[in-house]
Amino acid sequence: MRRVVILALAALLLPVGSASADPTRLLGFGTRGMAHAGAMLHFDDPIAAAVNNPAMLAATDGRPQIGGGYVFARPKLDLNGADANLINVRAFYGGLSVPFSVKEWDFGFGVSAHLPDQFLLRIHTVPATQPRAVMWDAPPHRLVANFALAARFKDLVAIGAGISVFVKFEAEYLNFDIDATPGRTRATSSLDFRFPLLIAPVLSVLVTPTPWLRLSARYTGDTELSLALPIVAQVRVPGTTVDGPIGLLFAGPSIYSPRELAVGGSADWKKLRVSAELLFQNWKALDAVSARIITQFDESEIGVEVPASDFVAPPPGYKNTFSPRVSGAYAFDVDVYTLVLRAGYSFVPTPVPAQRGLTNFADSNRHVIGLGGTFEFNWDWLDLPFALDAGVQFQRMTPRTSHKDDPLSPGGDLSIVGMVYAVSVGGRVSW
Amino acid sequence: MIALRRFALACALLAFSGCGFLDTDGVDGTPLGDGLSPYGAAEPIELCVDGARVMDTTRPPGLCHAEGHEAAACERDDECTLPESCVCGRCVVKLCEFSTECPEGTVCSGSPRRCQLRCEADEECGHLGVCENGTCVRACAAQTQCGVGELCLAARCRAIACGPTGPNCGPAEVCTHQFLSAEVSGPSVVPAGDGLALYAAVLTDGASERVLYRFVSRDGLAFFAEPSAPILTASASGVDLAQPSALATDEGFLLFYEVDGGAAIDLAIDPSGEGLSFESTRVGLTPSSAWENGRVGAPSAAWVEGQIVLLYEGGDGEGIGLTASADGAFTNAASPVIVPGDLEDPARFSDVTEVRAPFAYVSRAESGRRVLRIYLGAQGIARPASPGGTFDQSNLSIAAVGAYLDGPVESLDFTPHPANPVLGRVQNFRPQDESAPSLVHFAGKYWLYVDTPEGIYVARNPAD
Repeated sequence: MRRVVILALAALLLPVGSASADPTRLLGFGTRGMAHAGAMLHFDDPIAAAVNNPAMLAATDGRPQIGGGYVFARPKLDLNGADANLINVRAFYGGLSVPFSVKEWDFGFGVSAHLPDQFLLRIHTVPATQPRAVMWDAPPHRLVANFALAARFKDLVAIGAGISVFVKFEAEYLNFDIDATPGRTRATSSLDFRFPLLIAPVLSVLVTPTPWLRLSARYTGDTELSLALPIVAQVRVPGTTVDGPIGLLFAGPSIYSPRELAVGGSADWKKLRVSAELLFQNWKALDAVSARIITQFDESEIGVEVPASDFVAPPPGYKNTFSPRVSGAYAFDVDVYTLVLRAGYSFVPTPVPAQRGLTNFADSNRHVIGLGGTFEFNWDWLDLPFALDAGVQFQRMTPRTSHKDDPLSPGGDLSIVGMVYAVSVGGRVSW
Repeated sequence: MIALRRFALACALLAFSGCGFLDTDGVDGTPLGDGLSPYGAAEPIELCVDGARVMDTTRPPGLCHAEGHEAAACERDDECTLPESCVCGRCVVKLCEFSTECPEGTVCSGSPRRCQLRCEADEECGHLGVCENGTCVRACAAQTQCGVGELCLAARCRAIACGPTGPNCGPAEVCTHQFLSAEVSGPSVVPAGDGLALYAAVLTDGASERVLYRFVSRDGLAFFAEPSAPILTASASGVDLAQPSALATDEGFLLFYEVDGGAAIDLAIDPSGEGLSFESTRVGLTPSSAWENGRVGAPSAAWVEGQIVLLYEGGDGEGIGLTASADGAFTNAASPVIVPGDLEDPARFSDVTEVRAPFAYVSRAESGRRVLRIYLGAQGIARPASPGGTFDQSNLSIAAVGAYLDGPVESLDFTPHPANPVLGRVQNFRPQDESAPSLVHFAGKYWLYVDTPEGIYVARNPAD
């Protein structure tokens, strides 16, 4: 019987960097974040404050709040004239805020979590030559969990600090046993994984010089979840000279979210609140986008020549971006109910440069429009104000075509265009 | 009471927010499919003439079977009952050279060599079978208990080879040929209706000149001669016809081909546009430029910017010529557009000494820009990972070059693919030869047909 035995002795995934939000940056956190097109520095959303602006945890109405909901987004993008065939974004979200006061100080603690219902983290690394909607294939599919504390002094200045917690993924070993007898292929494998924690900082400050004016800044750390999977395979093919170890190193990033700085202000006029923000994202720090496989072996040791050469992708050359965002909310009181209408607009420039060579990272600028509303129930008999939220979002990815310098570059000219449709519903209760 | 309401509402909200992992929406992304690379493993195609596979073999081409024991029609192996396989549209016991020709669960063994059910124990062979030497041997009481191509002899299903020069079959038996002993070369594949048409040169056993056949296929893998006779023979034009190149135009179906080993490139025309029968032929090109060294061959034609672009091999692999004409009156290229040195890449493809059998393909990007690609056979060393090793040997592989169609075609400057060769088969740790490429987009993939010493193979991009 011809038999191949492969023993993967050591396999270790070594993500580096820190964890931060990514689906929440693409769509906004939760229903209200979606309705405001992600411009959420100054809107009352305590259950999302640990993500959007931790300092806001100390500027709530003083009631604890808990809530959650569901997010669905359908990326409908065309790559080179064909459907990019992207997975829908589906996730639950939830949050909790607990404010309390001591003398002239207000404090708040908050938790916000975005939990995809398909995976904790999608590891999706494809060759650099593979055309891909690089912002929408893996980045929306990951867990986000933030914890934050905030303190405010005399309704004037609040500071917030939080952490974004994420689990990295480590494999202790991979064992393969493959029976390659002609006509009878069987394979078994065993794996052992660990999930140690990664932590990234989220810091913010809120200044309220007058009751109707708010100024804020938020800093969020970057995320780089890189994978390195070294495998040593013992290969033996009876009847041939093949008998020895072959090393394979699979390396590549899976998730990257840049560090970002958001600054902005909001103003209230009667029951209208308008807000403007500018978001800086440090995409230039990204040093690799695609996976690569590096072979390591001694041909004299394994007894056969392996005609393999490594593909080395050029640096991605991403650019830093500035994203302007505006949003507003208007509240109506009807009897014991309050209806809040929400809207927002963001222009999100792409950090991805024109693809003129071997790589095929497709992305383009996006115009993001969010609409939504909140219906608050203030029944006296319940003494427990609760609210239902609904939001929709439309993202228009502008047409973009990258012309390749080489007529035979993989995939040829690269074009992308399309829409992202998103909807979210949720609810919350205060006490 | 209020506390109870609060608790109920909190539970409702938690239930609403939910938690857990649901089914995924599937896997996104589409593997790169640009017709350049990467290609999946190449596999042989089946060419059939009058129900017989075209193969370069000297073995007896047939198997005896009982009169009246007719084969069922089929398109795929899984439509037949093992040990039968689908051979040129019929379910029969399949003669073979290697196990790779056989369906899953069978191996090529026995005498005559044929696809037989593999086994390790008698239980795997059914209540009428026993396992002998790793294959099932079935007992029988009647001919119908054996596959078509087997005879029930001495209570066992046995295969008896036969052929025109012997051995012969017994009374009440007929010899059904599975092989047509012939060499096939120079495929040219074009869309035809819902399937493909493949034009190729065929040299039958005992003949001294090649003739041109037309085959059609619905799946890109099994091709049937249509018509069953050659579409162009030596009596029609020249002596030896080879390397056809088919091109459908508004004025009819054109078939370029090499005559007498490179003495000329001729052109046959089918005004009906069907490419089935050709009413007239004429000389398209004869060698005249110095670089052609007295030989022009392996033509490939493409319709570009309102004219026919004709690529051809000049000399003995010295270069690829390009000429264009709107009316079919071609003039020889003054110099080759590609020479072996153009493909030289020390890291990936070195010591390139010959370029052969070009194929022209016009691709159009979504941006609207068009590229004239040339696929060709190139003699060189692909990926010499270890100098002096088993891969450090020169052989024929498929390379590609391309140029944007943004100027006169005669002045195009071709750029080699960044990772030539785009197709190079390896078998048993040794590189294999392939040349004469022909590319067609079919069923959502690019199909690259190539000439190999083992017959015509096809590789697909993106890979399955």
